[in-house]
Amino acid sequence: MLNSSSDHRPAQRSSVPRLPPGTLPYHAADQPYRPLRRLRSLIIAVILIGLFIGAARLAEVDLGKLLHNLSKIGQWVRLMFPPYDSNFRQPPTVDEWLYYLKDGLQTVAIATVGVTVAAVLAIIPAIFATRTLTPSRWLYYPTRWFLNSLRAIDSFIFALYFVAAVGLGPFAGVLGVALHTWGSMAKLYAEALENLELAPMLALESAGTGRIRALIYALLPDAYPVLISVTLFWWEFTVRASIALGIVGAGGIGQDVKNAIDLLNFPQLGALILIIVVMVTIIDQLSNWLRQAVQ
Amino acid sequence: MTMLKTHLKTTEAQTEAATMIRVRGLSKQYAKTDSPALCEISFEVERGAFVTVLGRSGSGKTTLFRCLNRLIIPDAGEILIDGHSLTRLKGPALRDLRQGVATIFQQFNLIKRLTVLENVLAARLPYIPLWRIMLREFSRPDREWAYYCLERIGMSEYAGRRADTLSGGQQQRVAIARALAQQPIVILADEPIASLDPESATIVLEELKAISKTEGITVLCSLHQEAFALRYGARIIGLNRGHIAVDVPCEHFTAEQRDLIYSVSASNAPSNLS
Repeated sequence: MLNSSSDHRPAQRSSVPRLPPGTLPYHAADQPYRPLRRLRSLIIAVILIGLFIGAARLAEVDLGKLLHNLSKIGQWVRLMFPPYDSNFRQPPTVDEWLYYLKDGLQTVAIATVGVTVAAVLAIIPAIFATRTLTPSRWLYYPTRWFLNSLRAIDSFIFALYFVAAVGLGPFAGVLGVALHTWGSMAKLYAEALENLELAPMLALESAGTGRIRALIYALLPDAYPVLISVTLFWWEFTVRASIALGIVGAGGIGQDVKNAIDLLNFPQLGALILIIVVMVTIIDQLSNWLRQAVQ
Repeated sequence: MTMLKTHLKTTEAQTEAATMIRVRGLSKQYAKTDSPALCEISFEVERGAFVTVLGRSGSGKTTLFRCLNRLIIPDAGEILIDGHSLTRLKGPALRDLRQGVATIFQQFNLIKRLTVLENVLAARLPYIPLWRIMLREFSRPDREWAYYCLERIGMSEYAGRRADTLSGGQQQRVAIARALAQQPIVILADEPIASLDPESATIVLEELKAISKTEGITVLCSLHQEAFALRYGARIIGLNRGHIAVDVPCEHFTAEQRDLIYSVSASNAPSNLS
């Protein structure tokens, strides 16, 4: 009896009350007639579909090829598990696992050093590239152009260049990551700074405090959680991206992946992928956890 | 003839000494608007006075205040504060002058993530070495001074609290303490109570009135409600569409003048402006 009210179905709202005639002027709620807008939507839809088809042609998308080789792809995946199947090769020795683990850590190290250097380098250009903080328009645009060109060139390309310049190994990777991330991070910093409330800083300036002092005291406390968050996010992303650096000879676990594929050693590839997945998961969790801690 | 001239000069110097804020022909028009926000405003505020500025939203109050603390640069006209030209000074001299002018904002504009005491200490930033600012390590005299200023407005018990944990009224009182810590000669209060409940509003205006009296600080305070203006101010300047519609002592404020401030037609404004 007590909860009889909960048995009751709530009032239905599937229909609205009919207004008596004459409540509104006759044409008040007429459907607007906009044939041009309909046509425009149609044209835009056709253009978008056309662009997609064009892009698929250009990228030589061939579903037949994929279907035809599906069994081969499946077999390769099957060969990866269990990693180091004893039917194929010797089971992995502890030393081998440790060796791959070391290369995995080297990838994390490349990303960490590269991102740290980039973060420090990014601070000043980020301020120049923030519309609300830039000292002059003559700094704003050139800085943006410079950062955009750094961003346009991937760490992968930079690493190729540095492998040629300073030789094979993780240091080339660090330089590649640092340069590309410099541009990306400065741009993200600038966006974060642009969204900050300037009023507290301007309040200090209106009381005769210089720009730099006001910026450090009033803007930085607000800015730093979001700057840290951006940095951690970019670190996490760069760890994943740095795996590919090994393929161009810039160190880390990517080099082992390339070797395994070149030798069609699928069990070894399986072991490497296992290490990568575990490593990336740990990094993601760590980054998430740290980002929550600074909020 | 010469005697007359020197005589004129001395009287001018005397009025100069009694005048704290002198605004002459102040004009400002924002880009992409068809009427000026301020149109040749002129007025004077005597030393130690508590003057209120009334007007509807968009009448130019905030523009006037932003010109007075130089958050915006006026198109024309001159602002003298204690005889120094705010519009002409540059560099360190300008900073010195601005340090004497404290502003209370409608939105308080405290630094949210810093403590109440650190917010009051912000008033000391121009005189503090950069390393102390970066580390937020202040000298004992500075900290004591800030604490004393908080105590003056009854907020010292909140010294260690983060600013954004306080209520609006409390934040505005911290802003007053910050203004006080600046040792100002002028306080500009731009709609200080527009975001507050009536009770906090009364407290904030009482505090402003009190420090104006005890410290001899000149206060220019813009308000929405004439009731508060009549109760706390000694004189009312009414703005309407960027013009001064009314400038009278409170005791001479009448219903007719109220209409001049709040009328939409702005009959006193020259109609040939566009």
